[in-house]
Amino acid sequence: MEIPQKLKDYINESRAPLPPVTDPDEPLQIDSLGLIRLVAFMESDCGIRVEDEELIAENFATLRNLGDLIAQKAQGAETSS
Amino acid sequence: MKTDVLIIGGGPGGSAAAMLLAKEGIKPIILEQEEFPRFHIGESMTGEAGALLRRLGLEKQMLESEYPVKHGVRVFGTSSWFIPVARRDENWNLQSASTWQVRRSDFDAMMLREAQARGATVIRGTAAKAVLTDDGVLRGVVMRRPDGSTEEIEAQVVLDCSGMATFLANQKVTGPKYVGSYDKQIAFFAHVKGVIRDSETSGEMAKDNTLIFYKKKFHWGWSIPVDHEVVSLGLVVPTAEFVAHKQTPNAFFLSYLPEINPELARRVQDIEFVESVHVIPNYSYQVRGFCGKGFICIGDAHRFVDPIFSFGLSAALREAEFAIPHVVAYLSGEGRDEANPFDAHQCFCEKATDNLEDMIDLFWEQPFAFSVFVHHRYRAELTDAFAGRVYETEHQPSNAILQFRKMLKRERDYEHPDDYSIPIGSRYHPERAALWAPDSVVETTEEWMDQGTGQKPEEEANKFAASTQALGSVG
Ligand SMILES: Cc1cc2nc3c(=O)[nH]c(=O)nc-3n(C[C@H](O)[C@H](O)[C@H](O)COP(=O)(O)OP(=O)(O)OC[C@H]3O[C@@H](n4cnc5c(N)ncnc54)[C@H](O)[C@@H]3O)c2cc1C
Repeated sequence: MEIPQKLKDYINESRAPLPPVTDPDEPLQIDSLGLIRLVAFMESDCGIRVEDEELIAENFATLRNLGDLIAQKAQGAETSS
Repeated sequence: MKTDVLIIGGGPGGSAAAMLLAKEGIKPIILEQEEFPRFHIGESMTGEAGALLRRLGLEKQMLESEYPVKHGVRVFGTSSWFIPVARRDENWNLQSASTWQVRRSDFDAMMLREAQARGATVIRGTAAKAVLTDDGVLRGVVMRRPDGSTEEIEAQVVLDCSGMATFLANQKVTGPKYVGSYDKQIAFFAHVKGVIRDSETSGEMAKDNTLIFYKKKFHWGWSIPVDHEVVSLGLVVPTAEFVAHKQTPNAFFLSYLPEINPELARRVQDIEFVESVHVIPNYSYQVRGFCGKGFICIGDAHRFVDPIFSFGLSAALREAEFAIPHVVAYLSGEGRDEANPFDAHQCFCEKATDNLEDMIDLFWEQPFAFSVFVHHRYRAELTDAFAGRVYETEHQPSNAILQFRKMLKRERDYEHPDDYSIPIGSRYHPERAALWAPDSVVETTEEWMDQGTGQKPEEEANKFAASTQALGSVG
């Protein structure tokens, strides 16, 4: 699942001064406060509601994990509708 | 000797119970085995504990004694956050508030003195043996004075406020005493000088706040000021960790403390011990059937989960307050024919401690989720919980606690008196619940808490470390 570009941009901004992420498996290295803000951004600006149960650090560890999470959610939404 | 109410133990729970009884015109006997002042751990209060002291009219004494004023709790770890002390006003809106940190030797002595001044008879002696009637109802205790002489004290109600000594449980007057979920942890602590504090007088950076630091699952420390110079420092780890280090408690404490967290390391670079290190292992337990005909156990005398969020004093003081109306009713003749006249109180207290237990468990199981909850999702609900508002009369269990349960895959059922708040040898395996014993074999906390994933404890721990490392540096 593609991660929305504005979310990628947001992640890269949060990581500064680290360079933008290129490898989907590299640790995002966003500090904990940054991650909390990231969740808020996903909800308010990307319309992706992160459920309480999904608030596991692993889900936000790499771009791949985050992509998987978003894909899973999209799929869940499809099957339930 | 005869009395309406006998209180065993003159700690904060016992003294508060006595003062609250005095308000109702009942003058109890307090039996305390130690000469006060005496050292005791448990120095940080919740907002509600402070509020109860104010209701007892003790604010003036607290201010005169210059106890450090606590404005909140700061937590430093893979996720960092702050929760302010806050109260609820008449419309249940949150308002900022403060509470106190106490050097227990002074505080407990002040409380006991006040209880005495308000009409309690304080006797120096040890409750040595429970005395039962022929049909097995508690009738009083045999006390032993420091000179070795003994005497029976007969009472209509015994309030067991004996703390970790769990007098009535040891006497088998209550139901069984089980090990609690954090039984495999060990705590080291000491009063020290030279700890670097924050510098403001209120808010997040207030100099006298409680600071909690953690490294990885079940490895944490505290910094709690007890006066303008001295700070209580604590370190809690799985007992197995300490055993593996093969060090003396002093050496282990000093070498391990800085490893807990860089922020703690920074603050303890230049410390000087005011006294030697104290050690308490196996502090977690739970007594079933802790109320019955003629008795109520209060505070540590029936249950202690874990000290991480400073709930101990709050529970002891508040349970004392909640118990008094039941005691008054019983003394006036109500409930005398019931098997357990204090059944409702018992369930009420268990529910509250269950809420705390679920909160502590989720903090360790899902630290990231916990921090998101604290930061915004359930900030008000968790502010309540940290302030000690965990009783069902206080909108509990809140959505936060219900969500914790869901995430812990845990159900709580209070319909069946015999199995609510199931003791949790491993709370994921109720069938493994073990009776508490002072010499229980050392197992790792990870193993004890194993969720039945089939993974080896080290794998679990490594997985936890890996998942939190992904978070990067401390925020
Ligand atoms: C490592 C650690 C850290 C903690 N930190 C905190 C904290 O920061 N904040 C907090 O609120 N709580 C904390 N606690 C918990 C706190 O210490 C207790 O919850 C609190 O002291 C309970 O008060 P109590 O009145 O029930 O019992 P206690 O304060 O233990 O008082 C019991 C009294 O009973 C007396 N007694 C016992 N047996 C007998 C007998 N047979 N006859 C006569 N007298 C007897 C004892 O001498 C004692 O004075 C901590 C606990 C631990 C283990």
